[in-house]
Order: sequence, then structure tokens, then C-alpha cells
Amino acid sequence: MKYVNYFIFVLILVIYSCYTNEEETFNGTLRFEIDHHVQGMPIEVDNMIYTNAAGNPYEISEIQWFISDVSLVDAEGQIHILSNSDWIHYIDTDLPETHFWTIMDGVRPGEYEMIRFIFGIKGEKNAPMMFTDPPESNMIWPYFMGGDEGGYHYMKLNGFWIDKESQRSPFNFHIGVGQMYDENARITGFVQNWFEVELPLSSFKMPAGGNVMARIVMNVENWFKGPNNYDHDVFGGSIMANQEAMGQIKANGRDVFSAVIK
Amino acid sequence: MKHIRFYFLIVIIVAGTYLGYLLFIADTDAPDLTRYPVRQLKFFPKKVNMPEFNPLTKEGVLLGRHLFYDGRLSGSEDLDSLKSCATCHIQSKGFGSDIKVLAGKGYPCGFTKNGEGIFGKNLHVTLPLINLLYNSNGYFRNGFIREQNLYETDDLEIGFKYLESIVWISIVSEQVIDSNVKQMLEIIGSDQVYKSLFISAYGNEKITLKRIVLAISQFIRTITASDFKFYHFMEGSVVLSDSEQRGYELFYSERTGCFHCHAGSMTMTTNQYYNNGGDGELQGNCDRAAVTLNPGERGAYRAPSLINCALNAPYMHDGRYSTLEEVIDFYSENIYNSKLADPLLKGLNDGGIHLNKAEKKDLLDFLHTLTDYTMLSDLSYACPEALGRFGIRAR
Ligand code: HEC
Ligand code: HEC
Repeated sequence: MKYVNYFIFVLILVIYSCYTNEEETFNGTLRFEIDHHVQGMPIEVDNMIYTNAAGNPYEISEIQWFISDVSLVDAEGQIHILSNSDWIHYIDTDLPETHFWTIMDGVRPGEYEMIRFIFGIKGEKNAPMMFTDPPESNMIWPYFMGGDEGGYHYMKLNGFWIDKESQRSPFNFHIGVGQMYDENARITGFVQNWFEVELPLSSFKMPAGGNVMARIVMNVENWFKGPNNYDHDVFGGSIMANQEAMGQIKANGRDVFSAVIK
Repeated sequence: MKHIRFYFLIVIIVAGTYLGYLLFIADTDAPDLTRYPVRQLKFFPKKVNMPEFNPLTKEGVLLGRHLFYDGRLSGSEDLDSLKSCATCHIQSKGFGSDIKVLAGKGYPCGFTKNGEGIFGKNLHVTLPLINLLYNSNGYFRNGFIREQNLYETDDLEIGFKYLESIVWISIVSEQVIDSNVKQMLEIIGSDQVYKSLFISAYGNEKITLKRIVLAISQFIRTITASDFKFYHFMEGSVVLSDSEQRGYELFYSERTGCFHCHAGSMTMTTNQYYNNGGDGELQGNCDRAAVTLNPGERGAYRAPSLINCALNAPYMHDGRYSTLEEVIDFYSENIYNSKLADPLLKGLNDGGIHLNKAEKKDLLDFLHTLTDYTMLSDLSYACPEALGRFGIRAR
């Protein structure tokens, strides 16, 4: 049996080496790096050293989130999708290996005006139980709270704040698909809270066969301001069932990200 | 250019053929093993925790099942001194039990860099052996056994990295089986039943501690628990009763937050480490911090899978609660607002989540939908008849 397998292997090698040819692809490689900052500095977890725009002193335990549908817009305004349609990338402040990914030989040479991506996961893609392996599977969103199009949190930002009674209280700044409730607290509908992020300052030139590094920064303090001063004392620590809170977060989210090209 | 490729090809073909030949002759020595199929369960992790040096084979699993139940693992044939894995890991209790073991250095604590242990004087309750294959985030309550470990050990392959090392430690450690290994190998070696089992699993009858360890590890990797009501509900093949449904919605709610730590895949755990507000003052010394040496993780333990939790009393690492009702009362009104408690814990400043009586009952009913009754009497996990009076059978 081993013998036969070996022959097949050698045969495949032969065929493969006949088919790959010298006609090189001149596409460039784009490497992404994700950083999490507060006020321009890399975040320091488990330390009550921050204050948000609403005046809540807070600390961050961890941030876990999804990015998907990354694309580039070229000078003519054309959109170049960089990932397979099922590509969803998980990022976790505790797992450095999730802070990088590379589009190997996948970017056509030329001038690009900006990077775009989806924060979270679009509804039609966010199927329940699609992730069964951790860490992604740990992002599960309750089935009955997200319908069929919201199987996973977009982000879990966990930490503590000093509340109005001067107590250290945990917050689960969690965003995912929202719900609408009737006066009997029954769910009547769902609200998609993912959003598209455009990074206009991320223009760059990709030389033929070049290598470009794009650093995307999540500026954590911006989740809590512009246009809404998000106040933990108003919403409390648990907001998965609070569309008003998640709506504010979604609106604040548009300027949370910035990019640097290296 | 073309020429070079041609010669390169010839070299590859010749080398490949030769290598294939070598593999072919090397293989004829090995026994005829039957692959034991790894179960790919819907909603379970696809990644399995199985080192390449110990793949599952039907023959290995069968041998392992015999050894798992064999009271002579203790190194004695005296009926009063029999002890095996099945002494503490009992099938009718989901391969767990209420038996406690003194936690200490190496079992299951870690080691500090200079080799000094962080000792604990606390007792740890037996962990159930289910779905071990689907956990890649560390074994033992504190996750001491993990693939990243680089400790020097007698067997570098096994290190303190895999289930194999737990099996090894459990056999020799005085807190667990405390086997007289030399005598044990002699006793096992003189049993005709094992002669044929070892020959079919390893090609010859040589009996070593390592072979025993590998075989038991294979057996415990096959123990799966997925035949429970809530699993079938998620598959869409059964409905829950009204109170189970309400309990399910409580379990997966923002108010209780249970699902943040005890769900994800259908193994009903994230296998992550959390301080769940058990203590104000921390006494246990074999916690997560004993492994990571991060003082912020004092009092943190792996969130246990809640599959079969109805069978796994007493609860928590030290068995402080004897019923699920007490556990629910704990989350409802008795949690400690310790500085180290995990932010995912709800009601931290209020002593808990404050469920009313009806809600507690609903949550309890939901926890009861997590019991796999099939595995409790599955004959492929049961004590083999051939062990006779040396087999450790349920009390
Ligand atoms: C005296 C009782 C006892 C015996 C005998 C015993 N165990 Fe255990 N086992 C325990 C306890 C207690 C734990 C939990 C230790 C901890 O993590 O705190 C445990 C944990 C384990 C785990 C880790 C499970 C997990 O999810 O991390 C494995 C695997 C295991 N035992 C296998 C075995 C095997 C195999 C044998 C026989 C060679 C055996 N045990 C014998 C008490 C026992
Ligand atoms: C912050 C994470 C977290 C949350 C939230 C959480 N648990 Fe736990 N749970 C744990 C950890 C960690 C343990 C083990 C603690 C130990 O070993 O001392 C545990 C233990 C248990 C046990 C005992 C299991 C056993 O075999 O010993 C049960 C039952 C349980 N939790 C149910 C629940 C329920 C019900 C909820 C919701 C009300 C809940 N948990 C919320 C982390 C959590």
C-alpha cells in the first residue's frame, strides 16, 4: 500500500513540475498588522489608568474581535477584494499570533487610495455554529438573540470601570446583532450592527513584486466618543440586549480605526 | 533551463522510489493495525489533541481499555490493594467521581523555573474523562499539561505536553495510583491475555511502562459524550420542555452570562481559565497562577465542560458544593467580589445575578439536558470481562 501511495506522490510531483512555469506573477505582497492603542500608546491591560470621554475611569482586560471583507480601492475608484468571500479573521489582544496576516502575491501593482474592511461580520455571513474551534467559537452570540444572521459577537471588549458609587464594576462592551423588543420584552426584530470602515489616509503604491506593510490601529478611546459620549454608568456593564447602547457604539466606531503604511 | 529541470526530475524519481522501498520494507515488521476512526462530531471542534507519535488504533484502544480497568496497575495482585484509573474515573459517573486527590507539585501544579514546586495543601476533585480529544487548551484544572511546555523529562516526546504524561504521572504518583512499576510490569507480563493484546497492538509481547501509557491514552481519547438532549435540540431533532427552554434562554442570556464561559462549541466549555468569584481570600495553590506564574490568575481554573454536570458532584475544583442547586445559589447570591474575578462574571457588585426560585428551577432543568446517558453504559468503554476479579468495576 505504502508503495502505491509513493508512486502516486512521485507522479503528482512530475506532473506538477511540468505545469508550473517561469511566467512569474508580479503581484505584490501586503502584510497587515493590527495594534490596539489608547491615546496613541499601545494598550496596557489590567491596569485602571484610562478615563473615557464621559469621565469613567476604566481598565481593559482583553479585546477580541472579527475583521472581514478586506479590500483596496484604487485611484480609479475600483474595488479590489483581497480575501475569499468566506474570509473572517479573529483578533485577540491575548494572542499575538492573531495580530498579523499576509496577502501573499495577491495585490496587483499600482496606486491605491484606501483600505476598506468590515468591522465584525456581515449578517448573511454570520451563520450560527459556523465556528466550532476555539478561539473563534468562543465568540458565540445567543441564537435566539441574533436570529439566523448573527451567530457571533463582532467584538468583546472586557474590562472594569469605576462606577458612580465608586465601585470597580465589570463591563462587557460586547457588540453583535441587536434586537428590538415589544413592551412585553418579546423580540420583534433584529438590527445588524456591523459596519464598513474606510481608511482614506491609507493610500500607497504597490510596486511590481513589492512588499508593503499596512498597520491598522484600533484607537480604543474612540469607541467611547464622537458622536456619542458613551457612559458606562448609563448603560451598565452588560449591553448585548441593549440596542441603544450598541447603536451608539456602532456610530462611534467609524473613526476608531486608522492606518499607517510602511 | 529545461535540461536542468529534466535532470532534477530524474533525481527526484530515483530518490523517491528508493525512499518508498525503504518505507515498504520497514513497514513489514509492524503489526497489522486497524485505524480507529476519530469521530468528527457536528458542532464539536475539528482540531483534535492527538500527538503524531500515538495515533488511535483499534488494537491500541482495546489494550488501553484493559489496562485502564486493571486493578493490578498498582503493582499488586492482592485484591485489597487493587487500584486503577477506574478507581476514580467511573463510567457510570461520566468517568469522574467524588474522589479527591491532594494537589501538589507536578500533579497538577506546575514547577517554577528553578524546579521548586508551588505547593498546595488543597484537595482537587476527580475530573471526568470525556471529550479529551477536543480540548487543545491544556489539561488538568489549571492547564498545567500543554503542548507548549518545555520541561526536561525522561521522555522528551511526551514531556508534560500531552495526555500521555498525565497517564504516566497518574500511574507512578503517590497521590494517585502509586504503582510499584517493576512488579506491575512483571504481573502484567505474566498474564496470557496481555500477551496477545500487546502482540496485536505493538507487534511483539514486550511490555514497557511507555507502551502501557500510550495504550491507556488511546483509550481515554475515544471517550466522547455528545448524545444529550440539548445537543439534539441544536441539531433540530428534539424540542425542549417549556422550563428547559426558559433555562436555555437564561443560560445564554446577558443577565446570567453562563454561556460566555461554558459554551462556544457543543463541548459546553471554552476551556479557558477564569476566576469565577469563588473566594475572597485565595487558598488553593494549584490554580492557573501556579502554571503561568501570573499573580493576576490566582484563583482561576479551567471552566469545566457542563456535559454530564448532573453526574459530577461535588462541584468546583475543591468540591465545595455537593449539588447543582448549591452551584446555582452560588452564582445567584454568593459570589465574592474579589479583585481577581473575571469581568465576564455577572452581578459581581451585587453578590450574584439574583435569580428567583422559578428561574433557578429553569436553569437547573436546562443543566439536566446536558447528560449523555448512552455513554454511561456504552460497552465499548466498559470494563472487559477478561479482567475477571482484577477488573475495577463500578461500586
Ligand atoms: C485517586 C484518584 C485518581 C486515579 C486513580 C486516577 N485519577 Fe485521573 N484525575 C484525578 C483527579 C483528582 C484529577 C484532577 C486533577 C486536577 O486537575 O486538579 C484527575 C485528572 C485526570 C485527567 C485530566 C483530565 C482533564 O480534563 O484535564 C486525566 C486525563 C486523567 N486524570 C487520567 C487518568 C488515568 C489515565 C488514570 C489511570 C492511569 C487516572 N487518571 C487515575 C484522580 C484520579
Ligand atoms: C467567568 C466565567 C464563568 C461564568 C460567567 C460562569 N462560570 Fe460556571 N464555572 C467557571 C469556572 C472557572 C468553574 C470552575 C471553578 C473551579 O474549579 O473552582 C465553573 C464551574 C461551574 C460548575 C461546576 C462544574 C463542575 O463540574 O464542577 C457549574 C455547574 C457551573 N459553573 C455553572 C455555571 C452557570 C449555570 C453559570 C451561569 C449562572 C456559570 N457557570 C457562569 C466559570 C464561569
